[in-house]
Amino acid sequence: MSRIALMVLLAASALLAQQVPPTPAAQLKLEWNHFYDYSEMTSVLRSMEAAYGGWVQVRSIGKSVEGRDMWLATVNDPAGPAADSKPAMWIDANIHGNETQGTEVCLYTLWYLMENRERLPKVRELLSRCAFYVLPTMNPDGREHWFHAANTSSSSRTGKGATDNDRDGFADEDGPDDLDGDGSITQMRMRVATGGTHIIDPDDARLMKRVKAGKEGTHILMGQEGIDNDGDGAVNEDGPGGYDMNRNWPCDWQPDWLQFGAGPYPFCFPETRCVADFLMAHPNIAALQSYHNSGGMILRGPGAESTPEYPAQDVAVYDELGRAGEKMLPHYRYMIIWKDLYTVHGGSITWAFENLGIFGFTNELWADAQYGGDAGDPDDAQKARIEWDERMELGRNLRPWKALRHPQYGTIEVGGMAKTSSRVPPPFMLEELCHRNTVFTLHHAGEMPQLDVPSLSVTKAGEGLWKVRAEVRNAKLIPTIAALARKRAVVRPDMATLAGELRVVAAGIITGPVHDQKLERQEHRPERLLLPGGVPGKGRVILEWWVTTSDGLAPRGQFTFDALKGGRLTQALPGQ
Amino acid sequence: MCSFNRWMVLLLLPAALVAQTDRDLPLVQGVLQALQRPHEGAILLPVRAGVDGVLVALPGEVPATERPCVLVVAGLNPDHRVGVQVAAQLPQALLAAAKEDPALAECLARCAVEVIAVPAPDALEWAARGALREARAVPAPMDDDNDGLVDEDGPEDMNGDGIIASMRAPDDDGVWRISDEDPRLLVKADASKGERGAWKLTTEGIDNDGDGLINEDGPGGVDLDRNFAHGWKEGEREVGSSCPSEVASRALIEHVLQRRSVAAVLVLGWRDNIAQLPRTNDAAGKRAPNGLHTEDVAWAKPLTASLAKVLGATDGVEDTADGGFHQWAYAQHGLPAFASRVAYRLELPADSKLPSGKAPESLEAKWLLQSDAAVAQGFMPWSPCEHPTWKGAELGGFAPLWKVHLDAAQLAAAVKAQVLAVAAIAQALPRVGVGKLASKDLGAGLYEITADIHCRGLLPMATAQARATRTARPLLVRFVCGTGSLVDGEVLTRLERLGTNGHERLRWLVQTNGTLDVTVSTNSDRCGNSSAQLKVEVR
Repeated sequence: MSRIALMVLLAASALLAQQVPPTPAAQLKLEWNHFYDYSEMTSVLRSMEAAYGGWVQVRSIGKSVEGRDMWLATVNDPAGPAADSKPAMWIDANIHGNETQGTEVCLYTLWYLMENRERLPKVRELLSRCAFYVLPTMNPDGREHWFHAANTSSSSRTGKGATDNDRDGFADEDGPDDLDGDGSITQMRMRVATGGTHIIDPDDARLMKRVKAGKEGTHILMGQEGIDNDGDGAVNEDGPGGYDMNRNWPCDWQPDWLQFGAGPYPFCFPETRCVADFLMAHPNIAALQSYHNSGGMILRGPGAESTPEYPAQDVAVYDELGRAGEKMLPHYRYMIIWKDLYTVHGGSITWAFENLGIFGFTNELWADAQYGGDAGDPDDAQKARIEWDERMELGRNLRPWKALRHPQYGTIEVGGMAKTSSRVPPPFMLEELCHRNTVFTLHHAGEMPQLDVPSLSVTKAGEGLWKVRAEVRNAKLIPTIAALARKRAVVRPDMATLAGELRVVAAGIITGPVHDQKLERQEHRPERLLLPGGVPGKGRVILEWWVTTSDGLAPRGQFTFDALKGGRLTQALPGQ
Repeated sequence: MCSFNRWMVLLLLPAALVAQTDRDLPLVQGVLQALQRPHEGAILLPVRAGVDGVLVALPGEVPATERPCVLVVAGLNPDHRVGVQVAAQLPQALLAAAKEDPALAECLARCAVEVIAVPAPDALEWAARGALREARAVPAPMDDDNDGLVDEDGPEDMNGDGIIASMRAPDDDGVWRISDEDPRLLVKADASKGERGAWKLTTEGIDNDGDGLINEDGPGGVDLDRNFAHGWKEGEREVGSSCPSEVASRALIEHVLQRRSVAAVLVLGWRDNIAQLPRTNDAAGKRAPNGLHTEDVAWAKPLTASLAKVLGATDGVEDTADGGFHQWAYAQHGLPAFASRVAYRLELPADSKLPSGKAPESLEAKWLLQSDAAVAQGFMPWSPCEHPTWKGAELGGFAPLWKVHLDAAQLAAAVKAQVLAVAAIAQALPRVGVGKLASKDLGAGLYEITADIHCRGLLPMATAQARATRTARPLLVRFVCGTGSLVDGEVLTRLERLGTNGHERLRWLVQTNGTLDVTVSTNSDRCGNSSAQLKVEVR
């Protein structure tokens, strides 16, 4: 190569490098190592709405118990058809107030879709045919309480409706108290002369170790920080709220006395009710993702053993998506709720699938193993958590034991781990969690039904008699109607209509191993064929009408295929 | 010739409405007027916003709204107007009866009765209009046949007689055949016995949407009395998308949850659990029981028997859990809950014979016989009808609602019987209080205080099911020591159970050098409050 040619090539390369930076500048700069409280989350949504030129629309679908708006972001191409007319994916998070990082995943998903809507062909294609409904928090009260009040990593799971958990006629009167004012609810321990159950771990004085049966310890653990606020002899027995909104859906629902937190009846909470109202009013939703924490799981229904396994066709869809998720999400396992985790009656994703025919997963975000490998038994896990906190976050979450005077117990010590020490990722790992879960969700969205009509033909079948045949194909994995939805008749059948200058004499669906073998005739209203089973995933249906025309000429008119979860296709009959 | 018609149903409204029988009858307004009519010396209060009803009581020591109460609900199914009619007259009848019965008067001074006669006002008005028909559901639109269209194929009054009758037509593929008992009746052909059907049967109407079916998607949707969270049939369309899914059923549940002092429930409607005691079936695994808790038979058996007696309830059927309000009230909320069909009563002489000379065996044949003997006959002879798709169609059969229709005298008797039933339930409510409160001087300023907490009445302080569901708060016994200090014993004692005529003795140790002044009070949502004070001058 000549010297000049080389210089030209180098110059061109340099120019190209300038034009395509390794990380393109974001239209909207946001931090992905940050947990957003409710007002920050609201601001982010508003800034997205303002920044992305009509692609993101934010509206409130209801109010929480404490009156906070339930913000829903709808993503749809402003130049295209309405969101409600397209296959859509619903994404929610944070139904449990303390399970916070799902909200960041939701925000990241919105941001990622928007930032890449022109840049990445796959995103562009997805947005051209699908819409997204994203509810970053289903429990804004619980979230706000977890952020701004002293909590553990597991508290503030509930909503904030006052509940009389100890049945004494008072609600929420005896919750935990931040005795040392450090912003976290940690543990209380007391040194005792006899009857001790624990000792200070000789290997690590920050840890408590249970003594073996028959051995005498030096301390007893007194539970979470708190006092007996209502003078009934019990500590922390009736804290804020006290229910579980993910047990409140009418899907094999079982009451509070059989399953804690279910509430007195399904949809008794304004948060679950407004989400259900939205989902029921949007039959175009074909996929659903719900973010929880933690454990690294990709969960599907059924929620209880008493519910039969889903039909094989549906399981095959779930399996393919779930296994893809395992590849995208290291340390996550694809699991069945009742079988591999525990029984959940009245869960949201099982309700959505079994009653609305929406394929959905719950992702339990974050596994401690992501931090530094699997610790093994629980004692080691606690030790590992402290160790990793010390090494990787320089002790951010550790609260050393400190002595204080307790009004009921006397001198005690308070200490342990802060609320951000587990269940949520350390901030420096948040962005990866957001991205991996987002792409899994987009993969799921990408498998929503995509219909087209590869062939539409009119052939003469006799004097004045014509045969119209249409093939409708679904290029994606998810069928327009799940097998279970068909069985339970919870999704309106797909409809294939022929209209125009013609009279339909007979019509039906072509069935059989070889497609032109048999016409399964629909006796009544043949001009509007109903397909209770819809169009299978990666499959097709062939429809046939026998028509006459008043003038004996070939029929003129149009063919329409309308699938609630697959969209609406209209095509003129050929030869017009 | 059938002489029963829609006007007979409408005419038997409460006295305040007798004059108003035109087509635009303000039915709900009339019922509410009847419910709220002032009664000298009585307390009549609106139940609460969102639920149309009245609280009935007589003046007593405790405000009426804080007393244990019996909740009477009618009109869950808008076509069960006889229940609404009875409920509308219940307050006045109850108060009138209390004037004659001191025990009932004492009971109404201690308890309250709430009557919710119109839980779904729109539904009641809707069902009363148009042709006489069975209309169990509320009129919210619903796509019953899942074809994308809503309420597009309901019944039609084809012969313009104001009644939606049964419609039959000969059909070789039909599943019905003429009954051996009486040729007017159709029974299902039993293929296992070699029988063949020759008729098809439905309600009067045409195939409006051309799908080959008749009346498969008529107006209305959810059956309120199948819309509650016990035995709810998830997935069945007419039970609603949730339990509850309807404004009316939700309002009723919220009322019970918020009122907290509802201590028993009586539903006047299509259902019955009085003629036949529900079977026992304790919670199995993680499921609510479909029947009575074993321990609750102790009160349910005698109380149900006395209710059956005053109501004349016979011919009971198994009350299987399927989302009924009374089922929810008992199984999920632990309340003694009863359902009375009000009417629907066969009263045939022992030797009654059908025209064929046969004694009636089937239920339908018995009703046919009762119709033949009635002044307002309920069976409409089959008569030919021009029908666009059913060749040889005939209209006839039992007139809708005839089986739950009462004439004026029967209605008055039904009201009287329900007064007795409500009184029996109210008088069975537990009366919990502090019995003997005593002190014993142990010397050196120490006193032992004892209090007997008792429960009187047929019903226990909390049903076994209420304890199982943890929906009744425990009885809270508070000990307040005016002077001195409590050495031993609880300031707050929780009693989870006090059986029928049961009692519990509680003890406290108090140290004082001055006046011994203690108060023991009990507090319970469903049994009311009581207290006793002991004051002893110490030497």
